[in-house]
Amino acid sequence: MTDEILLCETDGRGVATVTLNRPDIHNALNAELIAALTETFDRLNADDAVRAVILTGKGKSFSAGADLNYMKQAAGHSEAENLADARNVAAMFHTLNTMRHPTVARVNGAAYAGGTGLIACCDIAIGADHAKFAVTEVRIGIAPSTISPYLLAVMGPRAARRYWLTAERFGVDEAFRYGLLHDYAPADALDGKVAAVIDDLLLGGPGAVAACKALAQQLHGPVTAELRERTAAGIAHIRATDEGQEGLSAFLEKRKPSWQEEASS
Amino acid sequence: MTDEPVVLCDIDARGVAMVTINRPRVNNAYNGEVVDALLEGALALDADPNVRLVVIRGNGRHFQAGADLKWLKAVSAQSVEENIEVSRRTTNAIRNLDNCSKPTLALVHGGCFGGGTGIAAACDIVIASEDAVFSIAEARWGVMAGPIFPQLNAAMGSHNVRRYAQTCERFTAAEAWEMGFVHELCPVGGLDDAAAPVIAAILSNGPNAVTATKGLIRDLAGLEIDDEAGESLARGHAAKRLSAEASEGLTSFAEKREAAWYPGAAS
Amino acid sequence: MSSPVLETRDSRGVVTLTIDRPAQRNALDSVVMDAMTAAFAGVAADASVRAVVIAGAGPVFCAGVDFGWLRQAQAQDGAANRADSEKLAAMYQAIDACTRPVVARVQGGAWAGGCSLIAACDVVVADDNARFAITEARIGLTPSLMLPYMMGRVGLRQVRRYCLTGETFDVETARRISLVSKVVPEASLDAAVADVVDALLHCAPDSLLQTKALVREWTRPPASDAAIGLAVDAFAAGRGGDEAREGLSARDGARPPQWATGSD
Repeated sequence: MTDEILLCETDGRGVATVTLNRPDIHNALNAELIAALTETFDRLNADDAVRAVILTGKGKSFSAGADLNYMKQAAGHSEAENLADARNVAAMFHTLNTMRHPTVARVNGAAYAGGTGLIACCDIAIGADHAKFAVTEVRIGIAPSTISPYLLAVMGPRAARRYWLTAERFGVDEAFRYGLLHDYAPADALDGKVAAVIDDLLLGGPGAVAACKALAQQLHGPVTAELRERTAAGIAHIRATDEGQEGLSAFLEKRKPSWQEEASS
Repeated sequence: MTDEPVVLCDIDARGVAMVTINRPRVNNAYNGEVVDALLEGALALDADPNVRLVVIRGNGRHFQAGADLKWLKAVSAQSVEENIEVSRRTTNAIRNLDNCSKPTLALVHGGCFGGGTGIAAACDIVIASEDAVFSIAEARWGVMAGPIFPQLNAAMGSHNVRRYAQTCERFTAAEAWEMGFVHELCPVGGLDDAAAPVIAAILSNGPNAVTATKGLIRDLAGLEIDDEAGESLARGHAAKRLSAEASEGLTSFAEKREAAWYPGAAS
Repeated sequence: MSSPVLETRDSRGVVTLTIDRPAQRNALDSVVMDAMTAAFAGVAADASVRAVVIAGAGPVFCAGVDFGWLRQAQAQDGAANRADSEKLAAMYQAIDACTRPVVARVQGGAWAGGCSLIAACDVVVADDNARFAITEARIGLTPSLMLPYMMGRVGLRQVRRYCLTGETFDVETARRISLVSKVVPEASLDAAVADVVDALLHCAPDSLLQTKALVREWTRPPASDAAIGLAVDAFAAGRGGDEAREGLSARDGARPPQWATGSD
């Protein structure tokens, strides 16, 4: 089962590559994929033979965020069911973010909403130059939630105040300027860039690298269990509001939400 | 003098409030009247259910040239209490703008100095035309930009504030863009064109979701300035304005000479 | 014995501190650390100082911490190792907390602890050939002592790359991530530093004192005593640990450390 939607291979050097494998739907996230990611990150984290982890997507996109069926389910869920679900998502991001091994996002294409969260939880992110990004939650009447502590730590409040409030799409140049990406390259040069960073990472003492990573996050302000719970509760709550319901219905029914009608009238 | 208001405000049918600082003859320098208008304007627009977004710009050749130094000199001749009250209102004008629950967009052209950088830093989004030029030059005149440091640190990084608020160097629109302080650059005269898609994007979004998201960013990033901290910033600001250094700085400006603290200056 | 830190002071109140170990590429040992910390204590006590410039003698600004000083830890007990680590932390803190503006004049480049030195300064002027790397992890050390300053300066995102990879980066990258403030041709380095100092002297001294204090107070995350304490813990643990022993021994033997066998 797991093998179908998520691939994981580790080479002789201890470099694990985790690949989101739902290319026909842009590697969108659902409950099953989130569970598989958490399980895989946990397993790699416990493995002393692993030295570095690459996270990437199969096909055209990196990850388009939540998948449509998953959102349909959410629309039918109670607030309590949505909360339980959001807790699982929060746990997945936390597991990736705090992995002791260094992590590299190989951003092979577009990343939206939760997809940007995956990038933010990796130590280093390198993108293909055609990749596009957006933090799209407000378009459907909700707010960024479980991704927000990680994405804010990466982009900073200045970029967040634009891109989280406008939901505009942006390219690799902006992603680079605001730190979501550390570097980008044409698609055929992406693997070379990733390989060079991996080589550098393998030169560092594993204990020293892990200690530095942990301290940097500690000093920045750790994403505590309390904060994760707060972000999970936030999304469950806003989904249940009139605006959250209207946004999701409009999206699923492929029509304009009420506030867009007002704006264009 | 004119009877025109020093700050204009127009709200269109879409809920876009256009706020224009309107003292073009003095490069939109702020005085007590401008501070009061911004202080009360930000609160009123925040409370107005018809407003979905606030845009701020300057009328004339410049966005905002900082404090009106003549006004500042007059204030510094007043009592300690009066000085604290002026600084309190200045501090709170920026805090209110920063706190506004609706998205805020600054359109910057020409000079953006001192308090002008504070206005830009307190807005969510800044679009600047390529002729824009910035400085945080209070220390040149013996005063201090304390009330806007929290917003400047958050908008451009404390390392940049440590540089530019101490050297008082000017920096260009391109430099402000590189440090992330300015989100987008446009050609001279192109502010409206550049702003249109950003405004349209915001209007496509759930208004309550946008407000919730802005609150989330403020919360997670620790952008809140509580009343005690605000009062402390205001008092420090007022005390500096009343110092002998400020008196010398503002006099040297009026007399167009080097201040006494510059080595070799004729005292 | 002459001090490895030359201190000059001009009539304008500008103090220049030059690390003077060009043969060791101005590596930081305990004598340099003490001399720098003492020099900043002197600046703190002298109200007539208007600005401080930190420079390095010779072709390179600073190669980082001295390897001999690092090796000392192998023979030290935990308390002595920690005291040494605190000494290095105290030097960085003295620079960061200096109430007067501090300008770094960076020629050639800065490595490891050299990057930490400049991260604690207000304005960093570098020549256009300068190179940088945060290489501690490559010898099994945790580059933690710089983090209280690097977090406020380059931010978590860039720390997670450059502190973990140890890769070399050019001055343009250093400027883009804010480690460097200003880049000029090598021949213009002194003139550019002089311009910055002149700009600072145009400003009112008390205004600058209050400006720097407030900007530091509102820096997030702050380089607090608690942050520095955690950084010292991590640094001392690394410095006295097995990885550092292996890293230093590999360096002496001109061989790759055991953990690096997987890379080329």
